[in-house]
Amino acid sequence: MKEKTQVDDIDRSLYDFRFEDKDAYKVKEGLTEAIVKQISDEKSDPDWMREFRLKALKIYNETDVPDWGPSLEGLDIDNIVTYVRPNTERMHTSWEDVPEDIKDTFDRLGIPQAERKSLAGVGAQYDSELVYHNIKDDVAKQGVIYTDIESALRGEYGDMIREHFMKAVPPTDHKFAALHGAVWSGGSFVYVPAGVHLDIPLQSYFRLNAKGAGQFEHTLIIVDEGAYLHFIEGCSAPKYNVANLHAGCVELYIGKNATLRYSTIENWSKNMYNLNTKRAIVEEGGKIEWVSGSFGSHISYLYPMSVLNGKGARAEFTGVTFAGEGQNLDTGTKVVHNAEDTSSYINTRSISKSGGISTFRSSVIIAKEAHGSKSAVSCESLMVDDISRSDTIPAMDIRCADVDVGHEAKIGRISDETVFYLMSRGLSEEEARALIVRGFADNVSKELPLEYAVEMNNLISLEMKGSIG
Amino acid sequence: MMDNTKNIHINKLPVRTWNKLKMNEASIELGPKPSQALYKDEIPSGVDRVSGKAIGPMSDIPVNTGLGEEFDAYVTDMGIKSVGYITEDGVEADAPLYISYGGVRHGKEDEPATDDKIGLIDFTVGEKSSLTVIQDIADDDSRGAYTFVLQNKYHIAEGGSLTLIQVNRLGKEVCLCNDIGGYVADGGKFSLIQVILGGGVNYYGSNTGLTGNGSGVSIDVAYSLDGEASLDMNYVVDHRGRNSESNIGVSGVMKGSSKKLFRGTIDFHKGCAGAKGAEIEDVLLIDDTIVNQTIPLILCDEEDVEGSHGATIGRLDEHLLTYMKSRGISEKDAYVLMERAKIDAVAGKIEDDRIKGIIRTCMGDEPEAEV
Amino acid sequence: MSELLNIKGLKAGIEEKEILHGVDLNVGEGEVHVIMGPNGAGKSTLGSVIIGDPGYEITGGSISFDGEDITGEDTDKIVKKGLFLTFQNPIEISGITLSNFIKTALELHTGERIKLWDFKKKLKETMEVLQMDPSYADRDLNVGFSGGEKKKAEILQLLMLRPKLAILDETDSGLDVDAVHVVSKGVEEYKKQVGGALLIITHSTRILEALKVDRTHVLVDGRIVAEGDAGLIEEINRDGFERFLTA
Repeated sequence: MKEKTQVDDIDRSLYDFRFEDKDAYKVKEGLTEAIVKQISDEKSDPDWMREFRLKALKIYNETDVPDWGPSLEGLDIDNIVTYVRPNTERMHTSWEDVPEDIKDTFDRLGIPQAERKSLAGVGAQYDSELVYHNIKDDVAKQGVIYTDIESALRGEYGDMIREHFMKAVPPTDHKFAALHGAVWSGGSFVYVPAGVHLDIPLQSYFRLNAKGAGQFEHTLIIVDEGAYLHFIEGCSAPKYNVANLHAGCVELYIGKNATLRYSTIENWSKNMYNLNTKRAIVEEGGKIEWVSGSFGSHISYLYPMSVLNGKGARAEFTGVTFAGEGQNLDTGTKVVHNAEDTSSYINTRSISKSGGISTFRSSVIIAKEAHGSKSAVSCESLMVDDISRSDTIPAMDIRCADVDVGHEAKIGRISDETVFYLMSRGLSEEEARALIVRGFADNVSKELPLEYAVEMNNLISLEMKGSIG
Repeated sequence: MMDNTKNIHINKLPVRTWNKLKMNEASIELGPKPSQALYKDEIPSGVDRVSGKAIGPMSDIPVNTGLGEEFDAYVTDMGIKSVGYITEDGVEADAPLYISYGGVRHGKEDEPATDDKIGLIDFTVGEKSSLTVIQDIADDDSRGAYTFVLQNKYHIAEGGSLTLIQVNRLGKEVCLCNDIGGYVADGGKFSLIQVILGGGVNYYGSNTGLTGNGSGVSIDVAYSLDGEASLDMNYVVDHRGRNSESNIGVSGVMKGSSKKLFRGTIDFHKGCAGAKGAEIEDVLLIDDTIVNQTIPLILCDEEDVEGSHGATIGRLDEHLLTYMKSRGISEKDAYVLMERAKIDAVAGKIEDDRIKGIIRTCMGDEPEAEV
Repeated sequence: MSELLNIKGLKAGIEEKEILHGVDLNVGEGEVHVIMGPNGAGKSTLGSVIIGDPGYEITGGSISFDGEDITGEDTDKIVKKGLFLTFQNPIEISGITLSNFIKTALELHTGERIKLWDFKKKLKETMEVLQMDPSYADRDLNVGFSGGEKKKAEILQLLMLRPKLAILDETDSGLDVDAVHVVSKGVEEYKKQVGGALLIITHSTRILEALKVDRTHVLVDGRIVAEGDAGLIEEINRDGFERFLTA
């Protein structure tokens, strides 16, 4: 019997296909000053950026790898090809001009179709370079800028980028932020002018195709006073048996009374080291809404951070993490309350299965000045079998009395009664368990636009296949 | 003598997190040669005191303690003999074992001792035996700034039960290292009640190994911190036995420039199927100069378990304030009442009137004739 | 009879939403008033607003009690003038015993220390009236109490604090027949011992059986739409609120 009609039935090879990269330009493996200079030359960096890269390299060499979190032993930076430029003349604004194999990749991932259907603009990065960028005319007319960050750096927004580049996430933050500062390549720049409310989302898609490569894209988004933006980020890579590294950096600046929703469904291949740093600086009355689904990668360190600098600034974080076989996903969030009447709301779910390890890690800091602030953290973990592991490590540091902080964590399993009930209504055990897990993850799926929610549920069903016996 | 102090790391979090938070561990300077802390004990019938290691059954298993390995090694290096209390199988002690450190003369007449103190105690509770221990942790004739190292180790045999009640009313310049660790066998139960009203720099740690099937632990801590006082805590429960249960409740009030760090870990090891663990923390914050840190861990390597943690930190709940006001109690009075309630809620679990009276006196109650 | 509670054109609500749209109500000393109305009419809001619940905002009108304007006053100051409200879901407080709580409240009302012996004696007697197990005195306030026990603990506080006006908010809801009987007895006792006035918010009439009702008010959609004597209660019992509901 064919299963074609079932929504659940998706093919993992959708993400696992890959193309030969024999024509591409690569720098030598390992990381030296010469390589960083070579990248800088290749990019025609302004002088300040060249100096910035070299300074970051120095910090990288002086900084230790973290002594907490999942082991990074399998990651040898000398074997990661830092910069892989696809064999194409950089940026295109029409899919027709993108080389066949790359276009084919994004076609299979459904990016052009999604753009036609429901997006205000799309950017697509293939290995280290952005290969496609487009924005709808009416959106551009409102003054919204959505372009690749490298050409923006050399254009009229050069000063604005210089003013914000790695200011939220300085290279001193941790070793992989320093690495990013030294070798970053590609990524998007978005500017939404004051008062502009974008009803439909912008999207960027990152695809790492080359073997043993690192992806270090930089995303810089500035949402000016009173503006609204929903930005969606997707990532994937085919599976090779050598480790790939993703050390991207996302910096979000949210102006007074502005709102940014930043959604990510991450499905890197299961040999990926995902050491990504994301941070939002929120001004008075502004709001950051993170929606984050982590399904892929071998090892993840991912903690989007919200710095609430203005009075009444708010942060919401809704996340789900699914760690399957061979995965150690250390995810969570950080919030710093620096001003009065700020609030944060954190709601996460973690699922561990087939020997996967998921860790929820968070920190909520309430500074002395943050009178009247509120924070609520709720994290739930689900153990799907008895060979997996799930840890919860939430930290709170409160230095002001006039606050209201609540925290709750729960861990448990799928109840036999629920499975039995669903089976009594005709579901197979596998279907029943998949349904329960999808329901458990609905905090995130109900925050996503429909097509992404469907994709996420498909991913869960796929992961739950063969989970019986 | 000062040159010989030893710097050791204590109260380590079982799983590390960001170093920037400074919650992974504490470090402390300890003197080279503390003297044996003097004490008075009142031993109920059915309990024997022995010198040296009392713990037969557990001598071959290393006991993990809350303050941790480095601290345990330091204590062992001191070469001071522990005092052991043993109950035979099937003995239900008719009264609490009462150990007081307060008011015991230490140095010579008219010559108050100021050197550091160390007290090491082992408890062995036999099968189906039950024992309640009360430790009144107060200053002896020592004055000023000194360090008091107290370590309690225990082994609770099948179906046995040990209740350890500790009341800390040390002076404000004293540093207390209060270390606890032990094992609970099948169906055994360990209860720890700690009321913290004194001490300047307090390190509290407890590690409970729930090795037995159906074993359990309950921990209730209440503290009141004011001025420059600090409290650094590390409570770990290792669930190894099937159907083992743990409950940790920590509740306190912070005023002045006091500092508190609560580490609480429920660790479900592989094989502890059916285990349940719950942690609750409740902190009432009074002044803006406090530093309140909390890190409650749930580590889980077993599917069939239930773990939970909840924390409420900050000012008084609005509904509670409204209710209080509806009975004519102003916001200010409500705070005074609730500060007191945090301590009383834990003290209420103690059944001994003498130590309850001591707590009341520490809280500034006038002695009132019993009705 | 002289006027105790005087409410004029009271408008109040939560945030943007107005719930009471101009309520007038007068209760004289020692009188028994009943407020009836369908669910969501604003009955409980009225009780909360009278004692100054900060969860509600007063947007118009005034409330005076015993000749003093209490509009916008802090709750604790209002109730010390002799007002009392029973809560539908009284709060649980661990670490404060029922006995200790009442003693504290009483001392704050009177401003003087009360002798423990006298207090305990009075408390014990009062608990007997309410058929409360004496052990409840030493249990933490409402912690682990059943619904009925919580209601009794509220009435116990009413009898101990002896207000001039007691507002009973749905005190009989969710109780079985026996518990309602005990609560009614407590309320009668309050009338007998204190002679205070009552404002009874209810949508049923079981608790009223033993009381002589002076006046009945029907509250619908935040407005008093009908008033009458005790006869009105019987009419509502028979016909429901139908005729008061405007389309």
